[in-house]
Amino acid sequence: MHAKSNYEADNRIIRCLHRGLTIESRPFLTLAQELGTTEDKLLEIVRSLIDEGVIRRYGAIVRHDQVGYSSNVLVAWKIPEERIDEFTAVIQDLAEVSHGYERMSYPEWTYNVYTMIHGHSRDECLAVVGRISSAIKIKEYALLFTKREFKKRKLNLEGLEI
Amino acid sequence: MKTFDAIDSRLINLLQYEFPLEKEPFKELATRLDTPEDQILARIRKLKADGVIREIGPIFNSKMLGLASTLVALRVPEEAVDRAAQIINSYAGVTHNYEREGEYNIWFTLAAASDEGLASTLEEIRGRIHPLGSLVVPVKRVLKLKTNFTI
Repeated sequence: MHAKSNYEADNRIIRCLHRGLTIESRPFLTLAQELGTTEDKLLEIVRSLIDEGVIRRYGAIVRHDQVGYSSNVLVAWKIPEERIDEFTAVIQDLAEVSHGYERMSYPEWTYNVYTMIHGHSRDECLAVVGRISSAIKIKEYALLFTKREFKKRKLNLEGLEI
Repeated sequence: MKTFDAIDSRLINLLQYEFPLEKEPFKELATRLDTPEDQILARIRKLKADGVIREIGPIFNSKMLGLASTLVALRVPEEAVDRAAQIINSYAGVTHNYEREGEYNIWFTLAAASDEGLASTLEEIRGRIHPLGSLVVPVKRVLKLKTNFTI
């Protein structure tokens, strides 16, 4: 784990990269010029940020609702602590599951694991939930289907003043 | 549902999984897809204009950037949902905000530059909305994160 100070020095670079590429022949040149560096140096920085795990992945971000996954459901599960690894193994190879997290739980809300599941329809999402449920033999879950999307955007780093 | 021709399908997958970190990334993709670079650029611009590709860039690990973040759920009376959503949306640290089925009907993600910043923003939001109930459920462990979709 890196100290936060390493990144404070790199904040200009992070913010610049965060804006994404322009679709032109030499997109990194545009960013490099803005940062007063060269394409080679900038690409080297990107590669090292990937190696360090600061960048999880570099590439296109696709809107899943536009590529056929028109339905999605957030599912909150009650998974005993000692069975979370088993649960992780079940969801790992399911293409329909994009996110899986263990999260804080409370006496009034004992769900501790969350998955985001995508499908071409509500029924398809439910079928995936059913498959996970029978594989792990746990029936305690809450289906938090989306009624309305109010906001979905990438993080505004400028607004956070990091 | 949109359908894509063979080149678009392969292009979308390559852009997600194997984006070339090179000076001329689109030229490299053009070679791999045996299609002129200007056509590749035109296809990508169209996919962006159509909303299929939101962006080409880095996906950061927010924790590694030193950010604090959490998922938050609120229980709000039906008639107060719109106003609450508007208040939540106005915060720069909010990236996702949904009305959902269930007891807790508003779910949003909040990020801040520090734990203190996160706590004070949350306090402010709760103070403005006065939800009937709220849950703050930060991540304890990432079990799976796969944000690309094979076409």
